[in-house]
Amino acid sequence: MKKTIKIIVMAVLCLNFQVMSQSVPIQITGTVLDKLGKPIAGANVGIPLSKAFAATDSYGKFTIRADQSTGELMVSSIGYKTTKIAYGPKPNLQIILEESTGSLDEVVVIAYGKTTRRLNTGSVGQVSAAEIALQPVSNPLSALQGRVAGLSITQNSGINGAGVKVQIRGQASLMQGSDPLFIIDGVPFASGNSSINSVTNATGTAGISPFSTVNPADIESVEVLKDADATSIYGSRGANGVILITTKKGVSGKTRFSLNGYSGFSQVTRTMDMLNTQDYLMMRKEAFKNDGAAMTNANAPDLLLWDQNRYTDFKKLLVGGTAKTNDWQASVSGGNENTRFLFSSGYHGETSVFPGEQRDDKISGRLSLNHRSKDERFTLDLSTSYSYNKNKMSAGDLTGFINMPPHMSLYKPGGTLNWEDSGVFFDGALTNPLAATNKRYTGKFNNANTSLNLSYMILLGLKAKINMGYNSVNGEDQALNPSTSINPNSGNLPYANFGRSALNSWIVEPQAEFNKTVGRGKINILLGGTLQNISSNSLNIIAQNYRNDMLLSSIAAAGNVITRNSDFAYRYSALYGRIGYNLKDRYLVNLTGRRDGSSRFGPGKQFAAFGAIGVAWIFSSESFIASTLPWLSFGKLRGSYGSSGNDQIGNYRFLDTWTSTNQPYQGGAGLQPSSLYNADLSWEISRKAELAIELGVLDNRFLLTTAYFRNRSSNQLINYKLPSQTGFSSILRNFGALIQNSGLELGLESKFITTRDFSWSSVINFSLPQNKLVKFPGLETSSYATVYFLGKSLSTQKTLEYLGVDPATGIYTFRDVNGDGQYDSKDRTQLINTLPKFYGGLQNSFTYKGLKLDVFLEFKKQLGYNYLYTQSVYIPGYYYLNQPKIVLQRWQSPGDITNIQRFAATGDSPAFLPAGDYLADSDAIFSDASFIRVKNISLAYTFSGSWIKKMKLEKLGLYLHAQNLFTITGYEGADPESQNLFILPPLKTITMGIQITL
Amino acid sequence: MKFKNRKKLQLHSIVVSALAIVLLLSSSVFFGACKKLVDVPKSSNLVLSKDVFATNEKATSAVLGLYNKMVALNLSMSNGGLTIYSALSADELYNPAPHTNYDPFSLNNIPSNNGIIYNNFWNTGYKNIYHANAILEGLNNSTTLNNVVKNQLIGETLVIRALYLFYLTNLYGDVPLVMTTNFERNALMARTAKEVVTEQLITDLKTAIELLPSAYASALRARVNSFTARSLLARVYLYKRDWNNAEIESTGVISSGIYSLESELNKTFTSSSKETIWQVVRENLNTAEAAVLIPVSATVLPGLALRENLLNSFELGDQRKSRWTAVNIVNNQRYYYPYKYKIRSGSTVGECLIVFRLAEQYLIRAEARAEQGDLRGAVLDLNILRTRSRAPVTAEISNPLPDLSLDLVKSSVLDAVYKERSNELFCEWGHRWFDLKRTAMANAVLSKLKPTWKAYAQLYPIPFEETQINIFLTQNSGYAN
Repeated sequence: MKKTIKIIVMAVLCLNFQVMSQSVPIQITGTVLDKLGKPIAGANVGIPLSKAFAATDSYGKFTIRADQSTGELMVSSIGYKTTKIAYGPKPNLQIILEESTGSLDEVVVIAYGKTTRRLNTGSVGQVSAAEIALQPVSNPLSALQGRVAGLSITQNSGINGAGVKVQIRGQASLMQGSDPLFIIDGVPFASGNSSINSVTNATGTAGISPFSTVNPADIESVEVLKDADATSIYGSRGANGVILITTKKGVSGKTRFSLNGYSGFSQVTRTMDMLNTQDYLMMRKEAFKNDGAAMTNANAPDLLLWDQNRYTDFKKLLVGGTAKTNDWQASVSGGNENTRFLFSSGYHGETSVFPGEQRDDKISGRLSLNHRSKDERFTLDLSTSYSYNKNKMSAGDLTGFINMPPHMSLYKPGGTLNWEDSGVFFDGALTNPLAATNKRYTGKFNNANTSLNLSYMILLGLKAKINMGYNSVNGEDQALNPSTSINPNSGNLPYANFGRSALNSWIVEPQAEFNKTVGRGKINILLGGTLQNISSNSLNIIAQNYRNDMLLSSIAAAGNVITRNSDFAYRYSALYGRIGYNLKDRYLVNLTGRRDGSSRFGPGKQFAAFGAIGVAWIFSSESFIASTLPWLSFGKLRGSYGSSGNDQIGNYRFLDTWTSTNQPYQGGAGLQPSSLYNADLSWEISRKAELAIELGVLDNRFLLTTAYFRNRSSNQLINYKLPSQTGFSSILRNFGALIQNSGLELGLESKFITTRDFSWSSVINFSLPQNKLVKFPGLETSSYATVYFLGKSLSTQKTLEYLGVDPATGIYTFRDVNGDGQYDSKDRTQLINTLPKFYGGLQNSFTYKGLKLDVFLEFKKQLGYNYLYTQSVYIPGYYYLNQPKIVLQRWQSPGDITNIQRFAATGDSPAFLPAGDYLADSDAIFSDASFIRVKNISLAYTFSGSWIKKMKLEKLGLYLHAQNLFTITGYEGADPESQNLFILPPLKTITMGIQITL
Repeated sequence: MKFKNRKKLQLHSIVVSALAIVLLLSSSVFFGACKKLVDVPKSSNLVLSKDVFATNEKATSAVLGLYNKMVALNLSMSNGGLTIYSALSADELYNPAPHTNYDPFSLNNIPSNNGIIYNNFWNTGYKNIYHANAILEGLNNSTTLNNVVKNQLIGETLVIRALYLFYLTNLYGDVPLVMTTNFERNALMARTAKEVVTEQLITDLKTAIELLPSAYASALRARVNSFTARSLLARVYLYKRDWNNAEIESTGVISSGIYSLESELNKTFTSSSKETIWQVVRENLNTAEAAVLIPVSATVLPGLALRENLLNSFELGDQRKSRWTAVNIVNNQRYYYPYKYKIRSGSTVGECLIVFRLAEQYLIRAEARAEQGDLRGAVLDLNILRTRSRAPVTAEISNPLPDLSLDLVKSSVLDAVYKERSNELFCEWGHRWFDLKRTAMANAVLSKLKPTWKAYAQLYPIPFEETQINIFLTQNSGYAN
């Protein structure tokens, strides 16, 4: 069969040749090849100023009709430089295309395919391996921070392995998941962005990121799909955008060995200094004086009984350490034109700024294999990776204890931890922080990801493909609480928590792809189906009442064991298609559609259809533009509109179910209602529109992309708030609320100077997000009347208006709007919006001969929680807790103008409620949290000269990387990103490394 | 001819491609449309509601789950919360050192957005009322259950629901009377008059008494029996000032022959106490309130200490002071704390959460008798308790805790009842707080003791968050909302 087709094709080509040589106009035939002599399929062949057009077939061959017997052909293809070549009567032209270096023609990975920035109809942001390589981070998501317009990455904790929050183009869902869909080499990442630890550790609510099992060095590129055109084909899973991670592949040619290693250290960035003992004592005494309260042994033992000369700088003790980072990556790649391979292996290890032995290590290995048969009909792409992450951080974030009284007695005379000083037991908010360092957490996680793509060309232009993938993320963790970590007041004996979780996902996607030249354009049709299954099971064991610390990791030694297990299955199936038409590389239309079914919805609600259209017009190719605007080297207008859905609601929510209580009653199993149920749940639908213009001027030295988008999500799946008199605090239901995320995204790439020895280029991205609640039926009488506001951002809240500290009384005052003498909900009139006003990143790159300097700044303008937020929980002067130094600016005597009220010592102090109650409800706790962070500086030197060759080296480089080096901000508080004094802020890291390729 | 050939080929290839696409499409349609492909096995931890009430065993589990939930959250209403926080609100406990949780209660200065009012009381109450309503609906709709089991379970559930409604209405005043699981209706429900709630309690408890056997369904008197229902009903009548019925119900319990006062006070609160009418068992845990009330060592300042007025009210030779309180001396100062439960922690369970005990029934009957003019009968009941608590005669105390005279006038008998209640039931389930309120003594007693006392503080504020979600839920007067 194969042979026959070949013969027919040859015959046809021969016939064509005969036709061509006989007359003018003529037929030109030829082959388009790459530098290695491999045919390039789908290349465009055209004759300038004529309507002649052809595209190459899978053998790189083309036939085109020309009006004149000599002239010029223009040949272009994705990823290659556009080339002009003269033709004449000579048959069978051989045209070799060089790979393109311009960023417009770089390959962009899209859903089930590839394109270039030039021809893309959708909105796709890209982060390359080179950009990732500059950053000494263990979580690949952190490396994306600030680099893509519309992509917001927030790191709430600096703890090793902690999760990051990812949002593409704002919060689309009132309260269901806003996580994008993550796809690694075509396989949906089983865990998404949900934390993978079963047992709580220092990362707290952020949890351990599943991406801490992904090696950043394995990544070739990360594509962020944003608009309907790019995401609709992912149907219900694409509403929040899609992040495609593509791993590196082997390069044919000589076998290459490469080694890359770096080593460095990290420290805490911004935090707040706390009072020393002297100032602390002064604060407390002043508080009693202010309240006219007597200090007694019962209410002021810290002032009357404790050693007044002791001093511990808890900030230094708990988070003042230096963490070390080590990273090694080795790879070998090679192959021939038919088969290429890449084997790589990596290690990344970090210690912590906390005291004691704490570390987080990751090892990984990967194999990538690409094969195409000699006749180019069959291709096989296999990528398989395995990684293992071991997190041995403490069980709690020690930053939470920096407000312990500075003269706390930490040790008993014998050296054991102290829990009591002069009758005061360290309990509740007061605790010996060193105990927490004795809680030992160990998490072991592994991630196996395999993807296999097979493709066979059945006929010219028709390919049958199958993508198969398997992903498994497994974890096993434990937190051991020996007697030295337990507050004796709790009465607990040593205990341990054990967790085990397994998440398995497989996907099968059969596809057919059809490429054909139709008229003067090319048509591309893709049809496919998806069957995806995710299953999970987990086990949690609380083992209590150990008699001693010796056998803590043995469950059998526990006096009491509580075991809980859970499992779920999620199944998803779909049928999808895409039709693309490209007319002369100038007019492009892209239609996508998908019909989806998800197991998360009840009978009759499982299926839904989604679709999108994307169009682009490369107007710079029009002759009238080219002649009037010669400086315009590239101009594209594109737009898209379409829908996608969201089913991130958890599983089995449409069933009326009961579940086991944590404990039995007198040995008998107990059951409780799981939740209020709703059998009518259905998809949340997001409709996305985008309009963008892309311009390149002066031979694309400046490339500007401006995009305006408007996403509207409706049929919101919300946990509709209910008063607890209904038994639950919410019910999951679809709701007619309409949320609009819109915004402007700008990207500007500039090559200011490009000479042989020196170059300077920059990339800036800028996002101006807007979020608006457009519709909310019955808002006024609903349970959301005081939570959401029509026409405002979802991040808006209503607060009391803070009027400052009364200079006469020294107490916080607020506006009593209705003048009833009380500060209550009716006085909350100030609207505070914490949605960032704008954010973005600026990259500047300089090269001088072998030297390369990259500086990346991340910036964000926003309102955020300031240091006063925590003062409503810990009132300065009240109880034995320390305060940041800034409280010294408090009001002291009548006439003082300040922003911090007088210290208060007692619960009936007139200053107590204003601080404890009203302050947190007011706008005083918000202030500007904008920042410019020097996110990354990289200085690299690549050696050149004959000695490199003599040593048989292909490349030798040295580099210095700095992450989060410093932050420019006027923020009143610790770190403007994490906005919490009691959570470890992101760390600054400085590393030095070497790269060798031979 | 040649061109024709080429066209033929094109046609051929298009036909083949089209066929392939159609094939793929149809297989995909099969993929997409087949519902089986999105059917998933049910999670092993979930039981469908209809299956829960299909078998005796599972239905019983639903009720056991409710018992379990009563003590799931430490210091929630039914797990030490009433004991601790109501005692702070009243004149029993104070916190020697400042404490953000205790201060608003001891100062009677609870803001409406207080977290304890919301989570520990209101939320716990209504969550468990929902659980109870779900059980009752499931049981009533079930046709496959054994009638004996079904009646027992309905009875137990009615009593537990009544217990929560009783406490909610006595803490907050009028409260929504939620009797179904219909969340659409319940979400908009306004507050129901306290009198209506009380009538419902009486109806439910009467039904429960009918349905429940007098025998206990499990060891340790850990599940509700008919006398538990009668005990609560006696209390409901007492609070309603329905003295006749209060006397009838308490007499029913006292004369049941099942319960007797422990002569040794130290045994009153043990898990095997003969006085216990109903107690809730915690798996591998002793009581939550003992863990809070008993200090970790003899040298530390107790977090909560007994107020002078209570300590001074114990008469000479009243062993309740020596047996049921204990003292820590810290920096030369004495801090007394409640010591009814004596096991602070540990893995061996020796004490459970006692919800009803016999002594209260004597006190209910004494008060009911006194109010009805049976002063002699009232004093006799009080003397039973006094006899039990009386210390042996010593050189210092020649007449320890004497019997009360049978000739006291009504007001004196009532005063004696109130005092006896205070000494017997201190720091138990908020008895003192409710007594102060229902006997209209709160203002007089508490304003003397606390400069921050306000009359409106007799009712706790309705949780602010709830008033924001349900616009029909009005705030109690005096509170900022």
